[in-house]
Amino acid sequence: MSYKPRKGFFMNINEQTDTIIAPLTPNTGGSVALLRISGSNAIEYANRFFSGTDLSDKKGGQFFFGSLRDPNGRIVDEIILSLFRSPSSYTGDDVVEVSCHANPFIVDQIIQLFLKAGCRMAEAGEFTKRAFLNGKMDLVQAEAVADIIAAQSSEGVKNSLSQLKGELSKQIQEIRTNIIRTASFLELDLDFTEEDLEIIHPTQVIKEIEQTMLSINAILNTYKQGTILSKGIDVLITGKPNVGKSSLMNALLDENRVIVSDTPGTTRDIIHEEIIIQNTRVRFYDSAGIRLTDSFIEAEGVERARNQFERADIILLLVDGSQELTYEDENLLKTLSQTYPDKTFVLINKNDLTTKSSTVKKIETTQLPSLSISAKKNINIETIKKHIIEKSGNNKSELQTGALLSNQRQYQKLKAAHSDLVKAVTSIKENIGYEFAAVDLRSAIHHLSEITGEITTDDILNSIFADFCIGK
Amino acid sequence: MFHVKQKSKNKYDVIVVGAGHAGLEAAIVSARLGMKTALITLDRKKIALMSCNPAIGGLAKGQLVKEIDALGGVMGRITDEAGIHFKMLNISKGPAVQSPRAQADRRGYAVVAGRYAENTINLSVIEDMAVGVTVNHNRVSGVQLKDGTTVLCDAAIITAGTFLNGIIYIGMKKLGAGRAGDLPAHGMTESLESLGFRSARLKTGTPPRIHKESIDYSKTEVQYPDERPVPFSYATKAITQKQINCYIVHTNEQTHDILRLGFDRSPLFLGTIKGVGPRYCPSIEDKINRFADKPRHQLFLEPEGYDNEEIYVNGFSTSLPIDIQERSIHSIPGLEQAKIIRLGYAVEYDFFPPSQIKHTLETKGIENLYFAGQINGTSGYEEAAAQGLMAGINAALKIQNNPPFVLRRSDAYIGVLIDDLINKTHDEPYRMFTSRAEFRLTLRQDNADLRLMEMGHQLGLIEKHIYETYLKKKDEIAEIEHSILRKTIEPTVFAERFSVKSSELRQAQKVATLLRRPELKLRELIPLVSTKTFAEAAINEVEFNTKYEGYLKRQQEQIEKFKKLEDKKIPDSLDYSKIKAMSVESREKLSRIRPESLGQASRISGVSPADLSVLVIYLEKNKIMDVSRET
Repeated sequence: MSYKPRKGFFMNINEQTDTIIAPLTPNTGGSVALLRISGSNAIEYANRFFSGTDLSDKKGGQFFFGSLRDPNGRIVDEIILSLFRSPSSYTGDDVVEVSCHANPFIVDQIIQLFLKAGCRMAEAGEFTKRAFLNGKMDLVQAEAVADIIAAQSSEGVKNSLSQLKGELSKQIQEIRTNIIRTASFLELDLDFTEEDLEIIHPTQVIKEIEQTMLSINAILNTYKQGTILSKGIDVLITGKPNVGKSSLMNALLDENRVIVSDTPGTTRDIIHEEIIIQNTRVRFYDSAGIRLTDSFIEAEGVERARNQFERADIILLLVDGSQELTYEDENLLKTLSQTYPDKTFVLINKNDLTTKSSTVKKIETTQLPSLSISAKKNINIETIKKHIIEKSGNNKSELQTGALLSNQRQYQKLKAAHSDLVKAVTSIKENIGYEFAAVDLRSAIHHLSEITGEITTDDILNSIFADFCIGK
Repeated sequence: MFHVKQKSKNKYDVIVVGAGHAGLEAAIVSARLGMKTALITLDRKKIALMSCNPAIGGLAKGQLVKEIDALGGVMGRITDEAGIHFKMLNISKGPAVQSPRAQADRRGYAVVAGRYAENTINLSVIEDMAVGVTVNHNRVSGVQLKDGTTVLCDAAIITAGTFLNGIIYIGMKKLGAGRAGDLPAHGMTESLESLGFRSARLKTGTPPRIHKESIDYSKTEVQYPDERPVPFSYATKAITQKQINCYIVHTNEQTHDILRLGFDRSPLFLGTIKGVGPRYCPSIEDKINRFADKPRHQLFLEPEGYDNEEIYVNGFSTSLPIDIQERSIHSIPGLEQAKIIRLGYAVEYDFFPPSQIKHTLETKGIENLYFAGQINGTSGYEEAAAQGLMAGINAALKIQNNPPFVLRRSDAYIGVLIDDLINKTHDEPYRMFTSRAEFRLTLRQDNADLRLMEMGHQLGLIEKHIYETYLKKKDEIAEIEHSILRKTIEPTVFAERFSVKSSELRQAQKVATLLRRPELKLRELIPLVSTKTFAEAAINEVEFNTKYEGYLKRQQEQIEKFKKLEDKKIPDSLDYSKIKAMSVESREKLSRIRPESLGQASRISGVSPADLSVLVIYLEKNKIMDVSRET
């Protein structure tokens, strides 16, 4: 399997010893996806999630069948795991390779599992780079990769910026400049207290940081859209049994080419079909298996439902308009209107029959958007599709703005910067001293620099000298 | 050696050229390490003379002094004896950014410094002017004096300050001088250049001094020293000498107008001064020029000593002509009648861009030749002293065939200082700031002993009683950590003592847990669980480490990462010109600086992350090639 460098070759030299993960197969097509985890903790991490075989004392070069389970014990997927021990692996590190179903949803979940365990996303070309460092590559291969890097270094820092869409890179640079400015306020207060300077009040510093956090959030939110472009939209169809979920599914799929019909019923109790609407991949999940009657209050049931709700981009809640709402319906309406009002869409089915006005009224009180349909008679099905595309924000006019964050590495760095800012605000509010918030701000600047590839030396001091009259 | 003239004097192990703050530390430490040492100075009465502001320490600089002291240097001790106005800065802030500072009696400081020099065994002070170094097979063999004689030595440390081709500017007047009232040193720069070193020019300045009797103190704001002065040195028990006040005045629009009248005779604005001045210590003309909308600037009137009539006008550094200096000073409320004793001036001098030195401060070009202090482009007594100490230690260690002594950025501000000097591009004199230290939270003035004294002890530079005090502090810290912190306090006991300032406990809590509450202090909690008393320093150390554990843990992780890269060594023989994939700028910088490790390479300004990746790959490739050649 060849590994295609994704984005950027700007590796932080500090990160050579981390355990890293990346998918080796592209995000489209195929029925099997391959993920590689490389680094000294690879086997330990895999062992945490892999059930069936204890890998800790197994020799390298072997395959194992089993399932990957999340920390709650729920099965994520049935996989084939290949174990390689250092130095006999592609990179020379301990390596675990996971073959799983090529469902972007599953692949993403597996990556998230390992990221939470302590992995980080591999930089482009990083597996190959490690392979050199560990003496696994011959000279011809080494030269080839060096050439890739050379092409970039000769273009200089600018080139790394061009890897981002222009608008986005500008936004991130602005954010970075703002944080440097804020940090210079803090440093000014720490390093130049003897100076006759106006004191910047903590509330102003907090205000500035919070402003920056809003800007970061705005970009983070585009990640969802950005990933929708490559990964599609996940739509969960939920509702009590026999309300017509299967009919709805069939109605939605009707006239559309089904490109994947993957029913790994053994790995998850979800049926999943994928269609394309307006150039966007939309996957429908039928929440069969959630028993919402008495057991709904059971922790297990709630947990499972919540997980499905959480993961879905859009939830279609189907109720029978020709009947009074049952306890189960009301429970679902209540949960969804409280927890996921933004992504829930209530479909009042069977409008070919007489609709109970009391049912409609109750639904209206939840303030959730609703639509009267008939799955059986194919009434208002196109409106549902339109709603899905509109709701996902993936309509054409917005797509053309271009400032979308779609790279998971960038997303993570940006998120890390955001959480640094959260810490900074906390510490300023706790009034423990700017020197601590300064640590957070530096870390945030560092993370943003890793996205933009800028070289940072003395940025903060330069900002101080430029803006303030220093010197007794 | 036949090229040395007949008249050659005694041979020394180490010769230190220049007896400023760098030279003094270098000479004393070298002598204490058993080296027969000579200290060459133009005037033995001016050893460690404070040519500019008569103050030691300050933000980040105070940390340097504490570190020098923890390694056995003398700067802290001299300041403790000669200080007349002690102040702990940033006292309202956390320990990581607090710094001691002291105004010193200028003459007193030089007297005490001279006494330290004269009383050091193995150290001879020679009054003369050094004009060059002699070299044998790329290794220092001696120092040439003005009369042409050569004093032989195994190692030479050049600490020439602002004396190398020094030129003083006051308005249109230009005067060759190393310091006000002292001759410049000619010859040394040329001698070093002939050995292949590159020199460049820097500029710094100093304000006028005014007579203390000519000030109207009723119009000034008094700045009081600390009531309980805290000594710099671990050797000092207490500061007992009398403490005196400083005063604050302000410039006004009128002052600025007068100053502007002199701009057409300003050597700074006319471009007569080629050297670059520091941004953090600009002249007053620079300040009003760059920040034109600032209506006033704060000035500190700092006495230069008990019996010294001179007052240093801190903040009014200038090289404007004499009439402008007088008129502008007189426009300041409180200084209407002020009598200027000495004029402000700018001084331009040679320095040697410090990419030419190693982390030991030995030059890359000539073996056993060391540079320390302003010659490396730094500013400040403390920065100079720190380098002098390190150069002195390393010169001695090298002669004794011992491994070098290098402090890392994670060990000390001294480590940050030297590493920055070597790796950064310098277009102004380098001054230390706490923000330069990425591990600022761990490099505190109050834990300099915990960080460095063991090293000082290993070198044999710490007196027994000081080392014992340090060991006791360590023991107490361990005891507080292992015993006190783990003790629990019952809700009732807690409420009795803290009901007013802290919310009540629902159940018994460990001291360590309670310490997380910002309002609680360890020294108040200890009596609730123990009858023992502990030194304040030990309590403070544990308190800081406990209260800010999260941040310190993060810092520690960063330090570990940092160390890993420092341990990835780059062979000195590496030919960067062969790494074609790397940008020309990086190749040029790397071959000039020749970083010792990947970590160091990553800090060189102008070397991009992409170029670093190329370097990593090239190194590995090379290793493979080397192996294949061997087999």
